[in-house]
Amino acid sequence: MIRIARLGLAFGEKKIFEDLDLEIESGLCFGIGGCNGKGKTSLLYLIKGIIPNLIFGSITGEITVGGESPRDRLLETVGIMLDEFEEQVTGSTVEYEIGFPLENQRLPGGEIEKRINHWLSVFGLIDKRDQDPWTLSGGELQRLVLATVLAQGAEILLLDEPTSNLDPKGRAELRQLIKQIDKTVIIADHDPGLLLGMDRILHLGERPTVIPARELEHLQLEGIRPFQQKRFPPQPTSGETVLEVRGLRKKKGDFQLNIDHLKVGRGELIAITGMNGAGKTTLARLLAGIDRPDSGRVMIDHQDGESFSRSDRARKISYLDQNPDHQIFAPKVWDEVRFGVRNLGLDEEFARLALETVGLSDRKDSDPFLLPKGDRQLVALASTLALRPEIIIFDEPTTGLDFPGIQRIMDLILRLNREGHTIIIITHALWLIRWYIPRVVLMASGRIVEDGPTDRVLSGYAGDDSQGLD
Amino acid sequence: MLETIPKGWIKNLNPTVRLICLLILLLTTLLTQDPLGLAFLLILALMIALPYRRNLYHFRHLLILLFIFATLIWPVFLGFRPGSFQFGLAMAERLVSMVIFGLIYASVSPPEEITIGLEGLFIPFRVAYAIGLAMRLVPRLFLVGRLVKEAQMVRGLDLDSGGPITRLKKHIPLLLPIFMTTMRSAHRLMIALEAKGFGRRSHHSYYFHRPVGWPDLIALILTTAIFLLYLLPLSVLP
Repeated sequence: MIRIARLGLAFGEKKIFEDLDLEIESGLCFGIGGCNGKGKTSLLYLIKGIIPNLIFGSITGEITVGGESPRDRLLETVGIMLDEFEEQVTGSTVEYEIGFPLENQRLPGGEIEKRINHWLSVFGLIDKRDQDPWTLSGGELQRLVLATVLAQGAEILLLDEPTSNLDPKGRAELRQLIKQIDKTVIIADHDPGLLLGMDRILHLGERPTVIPARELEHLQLEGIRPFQQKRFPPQPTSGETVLEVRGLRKKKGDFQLNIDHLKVGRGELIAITGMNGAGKTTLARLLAGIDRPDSGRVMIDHQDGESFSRSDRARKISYLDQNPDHQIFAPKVWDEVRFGVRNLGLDEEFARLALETVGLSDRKDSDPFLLPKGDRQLVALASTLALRPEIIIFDEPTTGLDFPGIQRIMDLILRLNREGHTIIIITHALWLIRWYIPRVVLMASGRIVEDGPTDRVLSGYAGDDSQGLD
Repeated sequence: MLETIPKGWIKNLNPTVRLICLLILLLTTLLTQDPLGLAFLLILALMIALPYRRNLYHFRHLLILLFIFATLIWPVFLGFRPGSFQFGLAMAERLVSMVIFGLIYASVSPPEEITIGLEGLFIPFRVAYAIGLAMRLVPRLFLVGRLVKEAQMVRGLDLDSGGPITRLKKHIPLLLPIFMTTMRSAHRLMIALEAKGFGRRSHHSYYFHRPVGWPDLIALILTTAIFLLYLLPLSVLP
């Protein structure tokens, strides 16, 4: 049983939440939803004891977990899977990954082996025992992290945004796993499909509220995407071809990309989707000229992409990574946005207009690293827009954003499209495609298996969830 | 990057014995400046490395460059007089032998075994684990570096044009994102390790346990014999 009474948390002057009262009974599946910055992750960290033992924060009120206070030390009965869980993995093999925390508990070797075998069997990873965890698929890696946490004897499982990097199949597997685990499970996530499967939900809004999960279908809660009927956007329009792919081949280890033909019209808005490992990002990187194909051509404006210099290609086609922190380096937003402009010898007015487009003109003197992730993404986008690229590829632009953040970035993308930019979005958020994007290219095993209007392609897609949960 | 080889007689050695053998061989390369004596060590290193030739192949450019550079740089420093080329050759053989011995060790030693090996040499667990983990995270760091480089390239940053100074300057925008991304990762890693109970107790148990056996003793005797051979002032080798 977790008991929380009049709990408040602040980092310096910034209050995260206050007067939170909550009781979570053993064996319950409990969801936490709400906008970014409202304290979902912080609440999980408080339950484990990460706050205040590893991250300092001012705490008021009471919190006990099974009668113990996590304010004094990290609780061993509570296991946590961090968001971006791949960074949680340190073992060089699946077996070592599970064994390491058990060694820290000073369990004898025989007991460690017994637990490893048990949890590998439960999570279907027994044949992956000697494999390097970083070679596992996203879903497998997530199962490994869960197995590692449960092998430690955790009675309470905390999952922070477990679905953010999972494709529809991975999300369905996770929902199945949660049902299978006979423990108290607390999940902080934006995915309404996942939250709906919980027993109860804490919504961290202006006033924290606990509701039965099934009510989520009828309520519109801040930060959580509402359930709505599938809304197919208008049919795609085909115009003059701006991008064409012919016989593109690329081999990466065991993976082979084979794209015989793909055409994108000027001013089109398309999505490329498919399961993890289908080849979406590989294709996008070839289109943007980051990687070179083994054979085949990418034609931009009827010219071979290879014939462009690096700077000319950057002005034709741009690729926006899902992690803005891979790009940002300048001490001020303004310096960051005009970096590319100065590099290519363009007019600085382009940078000013780009900043205005993303709505960050008033923050031009801010330090970009101190902005929230959604704003950092906008800074990265403004840096790209300032180069006036004709085609922009967005790789998973909504990962880690709450619903208002997603709406904000998608509204901006639609506006850019209306202004004439050709937009390609790589995503496995099927709801996003259904809501916003008229044409979808579906990939599997390195090939395009379907290409056409969203309603036609997604209606027959096995990865689509008929209940609209994705 | 380096591929961990899961089998072989070196892999089957006790991690501490394996580390001691490596240290003895590295020390041995420092005992002589004779090109012939060091050539013997280089051949020995290459022979031991045969089962791990795939990793050796990955580093072939580095090894060849190192050999050529070290051979040529010493005569430049010492002046082109009799013996300076032989000295350069000896230094090249020494460097390349050391790198190959290191590669063999890294090829068969996952970070967990490096940690155990260091603990066997009385290095405190926290320090030993940090060293093992650092080895594990090197490929991760390279990946971050590559992603950051690509993110700037799509903004038109051409890192390959211009002279050396210009190219060096162009790399400045890469440093901060790599640093920041690494710092964020390190912070999360710290949380993850604490959540796994790292360092909570003064001692830990061992799941991986490979007791010292006959193969370990033979390996120790052989490497010590080679060491003594080079240590003797009147070595049988010229």
